Amino acid sequence: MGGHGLYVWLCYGVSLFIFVVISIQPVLAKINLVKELKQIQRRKKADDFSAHEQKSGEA
Amino acid sequence: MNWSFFHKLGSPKWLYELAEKLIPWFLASGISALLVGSIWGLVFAPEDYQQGNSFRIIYIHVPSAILAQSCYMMMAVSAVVGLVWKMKITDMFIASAAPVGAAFTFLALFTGAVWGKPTWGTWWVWDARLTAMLVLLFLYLGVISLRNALDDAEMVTKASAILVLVGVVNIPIIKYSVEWWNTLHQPATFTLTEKPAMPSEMWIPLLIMVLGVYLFFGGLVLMRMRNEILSRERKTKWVQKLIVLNAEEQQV
Repeated sequence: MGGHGLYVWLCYGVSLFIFVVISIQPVLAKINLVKELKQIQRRKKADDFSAHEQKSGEA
Repeated sequence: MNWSFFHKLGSPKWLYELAEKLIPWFLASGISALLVGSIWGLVFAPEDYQQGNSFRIIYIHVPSAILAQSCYMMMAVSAVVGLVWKMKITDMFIASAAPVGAAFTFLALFTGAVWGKPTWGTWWVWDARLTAMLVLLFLYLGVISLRNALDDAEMVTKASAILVLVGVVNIPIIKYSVEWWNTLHQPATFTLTEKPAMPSEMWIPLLIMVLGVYLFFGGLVLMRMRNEILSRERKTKWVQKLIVLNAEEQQV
């Protein structure tokens, strides 16, 4: 590339890296968010279940 | 005038479903355009008679710079709409677009510096346009840090909207700097009214890259807005149902 190869490939390489990072970041964030929300849901179900049991136990 | 579109925009659930449909299209078309544009620019476009092959950096530098400024303008419009009509979507847009805008601003500055070294012998000068683009990067980083630093949701919305609007004066400075001051950065390659000075084999891939970068940006911002919606609306029934559906999918 007439000696300018290093500069050109450096630019394209860094761009590719940045594009990959900003694409993967929201995907990972979504996976973690869904995981977190599922955990909260599970915990809430367990709490509701034990509260219900307590109630019917007392009745 | 049909205002129901604006009412729908106020519904996070509607926006979430729209995003789910649009994201694959934006990403696929954006990435294809970027691939076609880069390969054309790297391999098939003719060498520049003055700069040789280093001019090929234009295919990343110019689209990134254009998008960096456009993104900020979109955020500014969002900020105004948010301050006046108080729609949640505007705050979600600002939150989602800021990191993407920052990344493209950084890329424009970086590729500009790397292009500058072999062409003009320097990585950096305090040229009007370069300095203003650096200020733009600081504005983006400022919006991101401000949002992370504040706790109260309403304060975050108002403060980041105000910061975005205060910084918007920078955009015309970037755009017109090459006309007002005759320092290092060259004047515009494209204008809306004149034919570009470059041959078509050189500027068509550039146009493709600009289009690609906008489409890619659309996909990225929608992905982030989708996450924002899920997080903010986590207590609603439709999100709870979505999580359960997700769970069942994984068990099967």
